[in-house]
Amino acid sequence: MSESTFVGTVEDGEEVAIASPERRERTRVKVTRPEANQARHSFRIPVALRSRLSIIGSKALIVLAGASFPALVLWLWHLSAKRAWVSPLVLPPPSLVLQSFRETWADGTIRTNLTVSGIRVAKGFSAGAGIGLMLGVFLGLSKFFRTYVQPTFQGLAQVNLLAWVPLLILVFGIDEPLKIAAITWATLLPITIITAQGIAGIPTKWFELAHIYELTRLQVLWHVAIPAALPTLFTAIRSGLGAAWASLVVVELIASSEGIGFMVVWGRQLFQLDLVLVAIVLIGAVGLTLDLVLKGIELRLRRWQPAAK
Amino acid sequence: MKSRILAVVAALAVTSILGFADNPRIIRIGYAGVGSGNRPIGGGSYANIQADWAAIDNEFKADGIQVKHTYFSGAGPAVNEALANNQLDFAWQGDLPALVAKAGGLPTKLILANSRYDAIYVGVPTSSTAKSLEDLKGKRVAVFKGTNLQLAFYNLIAARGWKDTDFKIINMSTADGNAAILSGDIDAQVTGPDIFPLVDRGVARIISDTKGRPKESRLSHLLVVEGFAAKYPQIVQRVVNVSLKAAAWNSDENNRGKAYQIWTKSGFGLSAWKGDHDWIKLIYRESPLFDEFYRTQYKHLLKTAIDLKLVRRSFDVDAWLDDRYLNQGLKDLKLENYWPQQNAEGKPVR
Repeated sequence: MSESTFVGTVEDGEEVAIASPERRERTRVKVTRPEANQARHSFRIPVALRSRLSIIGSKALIVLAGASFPALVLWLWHLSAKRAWVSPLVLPPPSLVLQSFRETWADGTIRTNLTVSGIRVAKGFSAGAGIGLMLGVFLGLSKFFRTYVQPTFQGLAQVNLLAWVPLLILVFGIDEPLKIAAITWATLLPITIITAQGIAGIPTKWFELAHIYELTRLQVLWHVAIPAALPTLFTAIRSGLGAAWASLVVVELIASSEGIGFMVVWGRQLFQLDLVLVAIVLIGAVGLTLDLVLKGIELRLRRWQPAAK
Repeated sequence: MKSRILAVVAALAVTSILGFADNPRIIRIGYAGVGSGNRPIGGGSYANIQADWAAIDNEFKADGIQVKHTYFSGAGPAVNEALANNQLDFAWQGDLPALVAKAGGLPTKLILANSRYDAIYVGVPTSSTAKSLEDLKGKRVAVFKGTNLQLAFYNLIAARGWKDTDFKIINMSTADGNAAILSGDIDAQVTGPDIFPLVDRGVARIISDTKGRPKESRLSHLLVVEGFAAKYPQIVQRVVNVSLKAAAWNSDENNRGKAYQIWTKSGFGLSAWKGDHDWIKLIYRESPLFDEFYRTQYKHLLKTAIDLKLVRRSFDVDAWLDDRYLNQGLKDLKLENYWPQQNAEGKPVR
């Protein structure tokens, strides 16, 4: 906690966010200031402002650093197209990809397909997350099940979704249920495993304490297990959503006629690699956005935790 | 020293005159399709007859030129990928993929017509209550998109004033579609003669086909990569000539039974070929000519593909159909009057 800086102006008894450069996260502490310090108050504002500016500056730097690599790739791609290193039939120039993006956006292709895919992921993910969280909590709390069932789950997680598809087709057919089931399955596995680990990792002392206080099982779950495992639960949800989005493309490659994954197939069948690239960039961008949004929610929700772990 | 240089120059001159230096080491030929169970052999046209004879292999054996035949289960779209990666010199392929690739900038020339009047069939599971195409509206119809099946199906429904959005079209390879008919996962499949074995087994029923309607049917061709043709025109001519011999043999009614037998090596039985070919004279079906029908139909297909946004831009079809090798071959083999010309409607002129 060295070199902690205050962010924002401070009033007596107000909660203040402390940004620690080492942790890159914010925690809130309650501040009480003696009356005598009031005199320094006016002097402190510029400091706070300066530190806020420096935070904005460093954030901009992080974004810039993150963007520099794609920019480099884009530049190489442009150069490759210009100098014809690769046949434009195999790797279309960025300008053509941009043009097809504009066209497919204007004629509604992108929106239609994104909507279809979004609904599939929403359904599959919510089912998978619900089942996965329940299973994970169950596995985490019960040593018996952890011993007998956990290894099986770990093993199943090693099998790629593609390998399950033939089996899933036999059970669910090739329509929407197949897609939802595949996404549910892909979501469920990481969420179950990470949740179970998170719950199992809670110090036993806490449960012992709960036992002394004679808390009911439900109370233990609500007041001890879930708050303690919250950071891990969020990791579980995030990797679950990542898996759901990634598996979407796999299921849409099979017997599909719409969706963002189908755009890849379609572009390939029609020999329009620019369409394939548009779809790939979209898949990446949407996946990244989803992850960033969840990360944001996580940070916001975890603020109440005093110096989380 | 001088004499040695002279000797080398002389040797080079001699080899170039004899044509040794002008020969490729290998000729790579692609086929847009596979037999039953992915076996590397097909059926249904004279392309498969020449392959069965190993006609091209034998033609170039004496020159020490290797011939490599590749069959693509991904059909025409997969052939395009191989062409783009410079892995093929020739390809036996169907109409839509070739149009898509040409419009996309793939430097190809069509050098022989391979088949026409190539009907498509709409099959449904035997248990289906559908009796006509009309009953399939809003239902799951499997089509191998990007192949000439898709374009023919569009023309079939367009002739009735319908659109592809009237059906729930699912993209499936031919083999996957056959399996999906069996499992009842789809309501119908748009496909070729591979439907007949399913009918024989009692699992499928044909509710519509395009027999006798050439404008709603498929075309196929032999194409060559421009760079290869520019470098080795005499090789292209020889490939065309041996293929023409197979076409002439296959167009002879006396060989109908034998041709069917050869095609059964694809794994699709006799019923497939009887069902698909019995109704039409082979001399119409197997004509290699770029006649009025073939040219008009290709232009029509290009326009349809553009309207459907399957192809981005138009191009000159007449310049794409390069009939120099064909005409030379017909002359060489004295086959100039063997095949009747077909008019724009697909009817023989004489």
